[in-house]
Amino acid sequence: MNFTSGLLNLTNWLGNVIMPTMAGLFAAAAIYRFSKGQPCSNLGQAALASLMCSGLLRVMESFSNQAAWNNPDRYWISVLTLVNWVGNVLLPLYGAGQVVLAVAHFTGLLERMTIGEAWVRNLISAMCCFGLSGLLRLGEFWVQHGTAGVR
Amino acid sequence: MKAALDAAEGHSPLASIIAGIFLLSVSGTVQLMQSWNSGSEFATTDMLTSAWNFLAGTILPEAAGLAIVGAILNYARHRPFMPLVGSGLAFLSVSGIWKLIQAMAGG
Repeated sequence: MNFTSGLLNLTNWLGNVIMPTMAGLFAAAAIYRFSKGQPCSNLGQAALASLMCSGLLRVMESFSNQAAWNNPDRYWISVLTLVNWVGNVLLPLYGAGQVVLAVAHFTGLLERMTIGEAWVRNLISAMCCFGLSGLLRLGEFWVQHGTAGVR
Repeated sequence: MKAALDAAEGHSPLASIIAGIFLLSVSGTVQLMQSWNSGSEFATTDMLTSAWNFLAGTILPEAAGLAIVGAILNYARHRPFMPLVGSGLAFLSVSGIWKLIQAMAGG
């Protein structure tokens, strides 16, 4: 028994066992908050991030491996690569989501999610409640098929 | 036990868990440190160099995984998560940061 393998097993257990399990709880909490008309996007995103915990670590490893181990610019290059990744990968994806939201707002769909005329929100919440495991399987499918990166 | 009590009080149990793992692996740590001892007149230097390499090359990259888990949990709970992302990157490039400090001091 040594400290390295203990810490490694703890990290693997947290990242590969507990966090994917917690994804279900995060998704359930997101659906509950959505049904109440409260902000729920962080819980939905946390559920997806919990499913790809090891992938996020691989991403950070690839950021920090852009320079040699003894390169004084290694940390700067790591942060620079993180900024590039946010700017060139995440923001375009976020922008695509905003376009979808713009269309939804233009059609007036989201107006029916506010208090007073909430039947769309209740309907979507009910669908999500009945299909939570399917939603999780969908998230796992996205994570498994996204290992090659965005093309 | 301490970790469970910490979690029950709403604190992070991680420090107690890591301390527990360390205490359970004291014999392995002693054997590891004995293997670092060269027995020469530079034994202290060899020990310190090996300890630094062990910390920077083995322990801290594993701590980066824990930082990612903590960042996701903090994000879900509306708590600051960017410090954990930044420290995760720093854990993965600690030898580069050391070289940066050396370059700054040398320049």
